[in-house]
Amino acid sequence: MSAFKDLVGSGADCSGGNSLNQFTKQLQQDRSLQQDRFGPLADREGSSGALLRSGRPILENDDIEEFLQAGGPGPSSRQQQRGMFDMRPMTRELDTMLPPMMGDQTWGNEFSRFEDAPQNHHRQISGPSQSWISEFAEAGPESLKELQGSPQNWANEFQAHQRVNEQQIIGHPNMELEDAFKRAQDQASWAAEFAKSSDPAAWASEFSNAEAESWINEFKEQEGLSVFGKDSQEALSQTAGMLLEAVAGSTNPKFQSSKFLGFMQQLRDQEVAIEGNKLVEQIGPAEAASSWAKEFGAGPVNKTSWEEDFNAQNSEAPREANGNSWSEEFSGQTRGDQNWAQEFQNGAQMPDRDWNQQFQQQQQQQQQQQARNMEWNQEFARNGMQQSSQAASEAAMETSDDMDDLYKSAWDYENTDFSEFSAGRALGARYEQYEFTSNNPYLAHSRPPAGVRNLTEAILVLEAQVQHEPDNAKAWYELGIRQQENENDVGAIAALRHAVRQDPGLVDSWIALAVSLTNESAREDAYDALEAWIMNSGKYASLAAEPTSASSDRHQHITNMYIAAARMATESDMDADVQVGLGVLFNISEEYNKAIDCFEAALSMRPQDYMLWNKLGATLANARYSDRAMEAYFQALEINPSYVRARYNLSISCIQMQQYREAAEHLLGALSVQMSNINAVLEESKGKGPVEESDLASMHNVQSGTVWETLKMVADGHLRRHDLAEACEKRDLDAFRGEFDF
Amino acid sequence: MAGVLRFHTAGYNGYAIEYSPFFENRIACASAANFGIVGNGRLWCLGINTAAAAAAGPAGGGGGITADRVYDTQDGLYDCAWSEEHENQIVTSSGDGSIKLWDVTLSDFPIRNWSEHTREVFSVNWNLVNKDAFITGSWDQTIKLWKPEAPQSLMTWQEHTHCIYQTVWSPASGETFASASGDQTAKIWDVRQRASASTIHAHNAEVLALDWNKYNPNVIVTGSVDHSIKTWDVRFPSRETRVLLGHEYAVRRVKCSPHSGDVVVSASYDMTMRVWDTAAASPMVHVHDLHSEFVLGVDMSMFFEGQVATCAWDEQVTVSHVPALGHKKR
Repeated sequence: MSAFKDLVGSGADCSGGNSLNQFTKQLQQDRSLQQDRFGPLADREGSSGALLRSGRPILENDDIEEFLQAGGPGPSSRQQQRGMFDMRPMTRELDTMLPPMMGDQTWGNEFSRFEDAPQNHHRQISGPSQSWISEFAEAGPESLKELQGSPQNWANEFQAHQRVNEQQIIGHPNMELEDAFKRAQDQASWAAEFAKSSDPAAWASEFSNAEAESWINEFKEQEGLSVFGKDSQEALSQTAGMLLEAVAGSTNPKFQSSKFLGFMQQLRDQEVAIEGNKLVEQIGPAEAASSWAKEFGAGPVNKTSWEEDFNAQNSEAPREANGNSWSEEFSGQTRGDQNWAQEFQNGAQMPDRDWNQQFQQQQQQQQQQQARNMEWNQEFARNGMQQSSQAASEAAMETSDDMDDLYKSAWDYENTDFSEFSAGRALGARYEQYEFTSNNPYLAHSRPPAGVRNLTEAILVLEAQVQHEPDNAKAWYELGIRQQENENDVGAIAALRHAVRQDPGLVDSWIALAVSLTNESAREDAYDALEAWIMNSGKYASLAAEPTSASSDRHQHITNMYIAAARMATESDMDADVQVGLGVLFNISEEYNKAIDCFEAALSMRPQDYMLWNKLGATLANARYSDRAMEAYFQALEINPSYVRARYNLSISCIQMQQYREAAEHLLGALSVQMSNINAVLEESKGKGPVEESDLASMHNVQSGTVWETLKMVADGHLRRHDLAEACEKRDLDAFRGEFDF
Repeated sequence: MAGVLRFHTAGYNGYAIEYSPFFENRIACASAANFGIVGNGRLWCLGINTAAAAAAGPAGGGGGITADRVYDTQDGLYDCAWSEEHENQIVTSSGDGSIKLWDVTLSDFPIRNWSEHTREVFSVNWNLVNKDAFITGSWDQTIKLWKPEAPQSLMTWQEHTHCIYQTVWSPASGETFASASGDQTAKIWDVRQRASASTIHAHNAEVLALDWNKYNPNVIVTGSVDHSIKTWDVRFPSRETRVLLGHEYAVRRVKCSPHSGDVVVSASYDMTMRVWDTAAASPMVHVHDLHSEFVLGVDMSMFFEGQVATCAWDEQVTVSHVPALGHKKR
């Protein structure tokens, strides 16, 4: 059902589900084309004046020929040759799209690179195709020779079909070779079956010449039936019933009086039927329909649908293959991916499967809702406003397989106030529970090693420490800061939340937490942290007279507190933390110039704070001062060369300046710092046993997923290196060695 | 303009509504008979008569919107897009896979017809920068690039593994567009490349709607069957920047305001259109409850800040002013 399959969210593949609609469309197609072909041209002659007046006229027929010929091949061949693989139109397209300042040479390079890519893919796929052909040739009776011996029109058809398929394969280079091979195999079996059938030429011509619509009509007249078979009508009815069930729980009065849902009811009860392009009310609706169905099912004309009829003719052939070829013949289209018969078949099978899927999905959704509700409830309870959430969460907690209940509870859930829920909050277990690295070699140490050599080691040592002393707020804070340094805000937030839980007076944790929360777009939580910093800093606690509500002026309220705090200091004893807090606030409100001033002021107090340099750099980058941003990042890296976050940020600035190769190198630098750190740690623990791949994998927490993701984006989207993007998926740093400096 | 203006798209259920980029009082509505399940389509070219609107008073009513042109098609129309270069041209996409270009100074027939897509074409969008190109997204899982003068599509992309519901050009770059698909992803594309530049696993359900923020070139908004709307920074596809909850059924369309980087409007199967402030603590700022069936189309006027047009399956087009669409001050 084109109209509402997305409403019910069946998750079913779009090749099914609307078989009826699709069927109708196929029937309409030819007429529609005719109308358009003859109508507009006739009309245009009389009204070309109007066209000219409106600006650039639409090209007349001759112009179109000219337009085409200018591009290359003559008009006779254009239909065949101008597939999606043809670059010529694209050349023109690119020409106009390119900014004027780009010289021809750049353009040429650009184009030649572009042109290279598909050719490569062509080469890639030619392998399996070749092997398929030889395999096929060896296969025996259905040999290629036999195929070639087939009548000419069929051969052409087949070639055209094959060409299309090839183009499609080339069309998406990401497609697995297996897929390509599978297609080739499908093709092969289809071709073989086709060749075996007694008189392919006659068969083909029968279908290509048949006025499909009139044929269908004939069938319809013969049987005195709607063009929709029993199965289709049933499928439509069931789909409608499914939709009605999906909304049955809605208490919205609009749903009860909805004409559309009324129409669905009629379809479900088979009071209306679809005939051709129209809806027809049924006489003596449900009864007639069912008796007809019985009669039809039991009657002597037991070829219940023409599709079966059709299949009976070619019973050896897989349905799919036949349908495919037929559909092509029928529609006169060269695209091979459409499969009418399959769709038809799916249509009949759809409802059950579809319903199941839908039900499963709904159950999943229900579970998710429960989970979210629980989080939300916790959140809400924390804010001390529990009463209104109670009913909602209770409703959602009840597990029920019954559709109505399910929707009712969903409805209740949806009716609750969402303003507190998820809006700018870092919710979920990963923000609350710090995820420790498994196989941490330092866990066995009774006390920390004397010197810590790198960031990874520092993180592992601190993780071991807080596992031994979970109430050590200072250690949690240090761990949070190191995770920030390591470009892992999620871990940082979890660690810092542990720190403030143990000791809310450890005020540095609140500022650090605000920074990470801002990075994770958890604005409301960031405000909480900034407010907590003021309340817990003895000096400024008096400024926090009343806690703020979650209103939209919350930002202003907290900013005012920090400005008041800043005013308490004199020029010489400025509090850098207050400036950092203000800097974070102005970052949230995207007032970057103000934020820059704040961080610069803070840096004047702490010039060796490399993390502060990074904050300044990030703010400059947000304000689009890419050059100055990079200077700040370099400052940070000069102080601490293994500072992963600054290296990552540097790469982001490179991406913004379209220096993709440099961006990749900085990302690789960040990753290799992490990797060598991990290796050093593993070396350290080698005495306890051999270093395994799994040991490396277990270190994922000290590796940053964000860096890999960004590298993948650069490789795939900008450097056009799908191979390297795949290497990113596998986290294979070695794939980049030799080609990139890092 | 006071009150609500209404227009009855008699016999046709609205699927999409679009303001003209050239004329402040012109809107187009793509519609289909029988809720798009079977039957014809109709393109409505509507004029908003603000004088009549004032006379109608705050209660609104008919007469404020007039049908300047109607065009009938063999199959339902699912989307439309005004040309950015010819003020009188508009392109429609249809259930039979056809794309038609119309000139509203001419009656009855399209000036162009393309039939390449093999399934319903649910989306058409005109390039805002390179104004002689448009893209379509179809249930045949392909995206195609077109120029009005070219007899065939210039490019076809096939990467999504399910129906494509929407394709939208970036307002900042004439080479960049985004697509929303039933495969639960949104993809970012560069017309010069055959593969998508990035893939966002946006929802755990079909992604039906998508739009670009007009003020931040890196931000997109998605709407899904899971009832939610999410905002994304396309540079960081791993996690949304915000989730907007409140719709009670699938979100069918989202549009970002031409006047503010924080305002988003959405149309849903819960029969409402909603207005969101993505920067506010309580993001849902308005529920537009003027329809009695599914709301499928919504658009915001570029000329009058706060003026919003909707279309729905109750055969009604509404034009109204929504509150709280002003610039945010912080």
